[in-house]
Amino acid sequence: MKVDAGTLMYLEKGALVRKAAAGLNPEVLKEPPIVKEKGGYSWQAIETKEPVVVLKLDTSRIASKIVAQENFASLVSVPMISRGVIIGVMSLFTKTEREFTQDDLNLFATIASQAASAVMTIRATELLAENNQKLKETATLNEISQSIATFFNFEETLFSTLGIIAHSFNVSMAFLGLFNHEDKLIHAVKPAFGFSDKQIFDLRTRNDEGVTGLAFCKGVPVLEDKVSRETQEIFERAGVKGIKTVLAAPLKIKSQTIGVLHLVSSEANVFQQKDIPFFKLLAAQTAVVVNSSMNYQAIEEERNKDEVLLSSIGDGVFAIDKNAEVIMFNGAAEKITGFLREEVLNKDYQDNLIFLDRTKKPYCESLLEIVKKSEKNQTIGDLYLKKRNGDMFPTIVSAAPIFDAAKQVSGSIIVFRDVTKEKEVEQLKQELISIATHELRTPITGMKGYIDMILGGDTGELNGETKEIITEMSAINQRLADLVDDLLNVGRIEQGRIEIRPEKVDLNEVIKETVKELSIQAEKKKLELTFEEGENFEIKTDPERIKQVLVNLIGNSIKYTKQGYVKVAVKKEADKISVSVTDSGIGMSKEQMSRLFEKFYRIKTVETRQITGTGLGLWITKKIVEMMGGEIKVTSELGKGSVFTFSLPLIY
Amino acid sequence: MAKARLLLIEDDVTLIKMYSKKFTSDGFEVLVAYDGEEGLKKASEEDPDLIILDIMLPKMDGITLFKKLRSKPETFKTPVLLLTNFNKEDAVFECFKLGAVDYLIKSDVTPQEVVKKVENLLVGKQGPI
Repeated sequence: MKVDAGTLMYLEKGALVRKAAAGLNPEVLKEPPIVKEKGGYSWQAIETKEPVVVLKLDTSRIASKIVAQENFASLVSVPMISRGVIIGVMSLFTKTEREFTQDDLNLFATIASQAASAVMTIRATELLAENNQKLKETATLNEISQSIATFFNFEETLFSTLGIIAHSFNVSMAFLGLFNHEDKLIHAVKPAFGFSDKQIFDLRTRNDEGVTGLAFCKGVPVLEDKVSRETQEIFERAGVKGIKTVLAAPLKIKSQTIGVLHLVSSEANVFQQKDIPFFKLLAAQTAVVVNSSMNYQAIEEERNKDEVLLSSIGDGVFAIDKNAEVIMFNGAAEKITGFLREEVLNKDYQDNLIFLDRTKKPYCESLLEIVKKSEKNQTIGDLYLKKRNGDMFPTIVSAAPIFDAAKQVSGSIIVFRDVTKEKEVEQLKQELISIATHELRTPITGMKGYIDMILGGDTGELNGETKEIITEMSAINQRLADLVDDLLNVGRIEQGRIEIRPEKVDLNEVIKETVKELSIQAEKKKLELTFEEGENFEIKTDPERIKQVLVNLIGNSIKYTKQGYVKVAVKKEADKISVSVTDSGIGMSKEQMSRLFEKFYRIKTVETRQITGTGLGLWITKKIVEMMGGEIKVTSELGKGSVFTFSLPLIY
Repeated sequence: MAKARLLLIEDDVTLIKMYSKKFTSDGFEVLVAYDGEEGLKKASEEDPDLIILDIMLPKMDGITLFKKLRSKPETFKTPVLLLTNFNKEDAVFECFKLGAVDYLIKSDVTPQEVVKKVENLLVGKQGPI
């Protein structure tokens, strides 16, 4: 491939500085930097990050006067990019018009990226050559730091770093040895300066051997002006002969030594004692390069792993930033919602992803605000999500906060799942329970009827023992009936089939009535069941449900109290009304209290062995109270008794 | 002589047997219908003194049946007692609107209590169960 001229410009402080030129008037290097406002082909390549190919040049678009005078016909400008960061631009010119193929462009791009690293090396070396004062040493260090920031690529970075160091000490060989935790040896790593690949592969040493070992173990730079026998052996094992001088310095990260930086020469007396402090600084800087590269590679690997993970999980996952804009949207999210990544990225997630509540009205709360408020992972069930085609599906959403370095919520990761199948299964399960319990009810009622007939003397007089057994049968049958009733209630609550029908209710009256009905049970156990009537008032609530709650609570107190009392009291407060049921029963521990309202939880002790129940009553009670907008609480002391208090909002 | 003729409209054989036994042994004459249509037919033809009606019935549900009874001259005045496990307020309200003498939940009452209720109704005084 023939070109007539080439030039290389480096991006410095927002302007393009020409660093090299071939086939051009050398004066071109003295032209002032080209600022962005001037435009031109080079800036076009930088701004588009794409090669610019021009078959017929328009001289007015050539920013450099000298280049414009050359009457070139065609041009290719390739941005020099390393890891997404633009370093500069390389341009090639031809005198005659010519086409550039894709292969040409690929080749240029490769050259451009190599040129990028070369430019950095040259620049750093130039700087060093020009200034050997202490002050300028800092500049070299800064150069290396910049190269770290620009190239997060181990090989490229290391190569240019070693190049800068070797040049500045005027030696032809430099390499890094890194400590390997597996075989406990220090291995030379690629890339190295002035060694063959095979030599580098074979170059390894114990960490107590030769100049390398000395620098590694002591943690200080070591200069062997005339190499020791041991050091020589290290090199000879790798087929490197004629080594005269080695300068070695440890690579330290915090207090840990990770390897040794070497400058090697086949001539004697190339280093002076005064070089050592600067070399030590360079080694420290190199250690940072190595460490950053390693960290970067580890992060890259993690990120690749995360990406694989995110794309392979079946749940939809997306992430939003502090402006609620989507910054990540995984494959499953695309599949579930029908939206493409490109459609949702960098836009407020609510622009596309519309969540609806259980009544299918838009769910307006921002997930971002929710996690900001709680700073914890939040699960929101009973939502629907609208697909791209307008269909809706039931979903459970889990939103987790993302924290920034200052521990502030800076976004959220949201996981959502299509729960259509689960909902169907749940529905089926509920229907099954409902049918089963309905079917159980009739035979239980039949049995109860016959037992009552026998106990009522319809079949003749019963002897004592028969009566005892039939009474026991009746109790067992009643237990079955209660269980079926409880299960039916659970089913109704879980399916949202229990309706609250508020009406004006005289609460005192409802309690009085319930207490009267339950007094028979209390009398049987010789318990004192009392009701302390409150002031007269009406509230708007569902009397049937209130009664259900009262029967459950008072019934429980009677069940779990051997002797003493069960007291019911009502108290009107500013915005609520609370009803308490206090007993002198067996009480319970904190642990038992914490699980009391769980479904099927029953306190199992010697004392409760004789007491039957389903473990559903309090769960049902709590749900009903909550459905009425109230809450229920319990306080208790083991052996002393318990107080159950439920409160209802005061609505007239 | 039998105290009175009752028509029990109920689809569950277990419960029919049980209630029949109780009422018969307490001196009632019990007629039985196993579904809504049969119930309507028997109510018209047999002119019972009282109908004991379930709600969830095959062929015709209890409330539809109740409405039909009220629209026919021969059954217009026959007292109807609901005996069911169908416990929905709408249904209870509807039945009382149609003039039910009472609405009993099967699982809450003993057969003895049902008999007492019926006896009280038939002598014209409505007492607590």
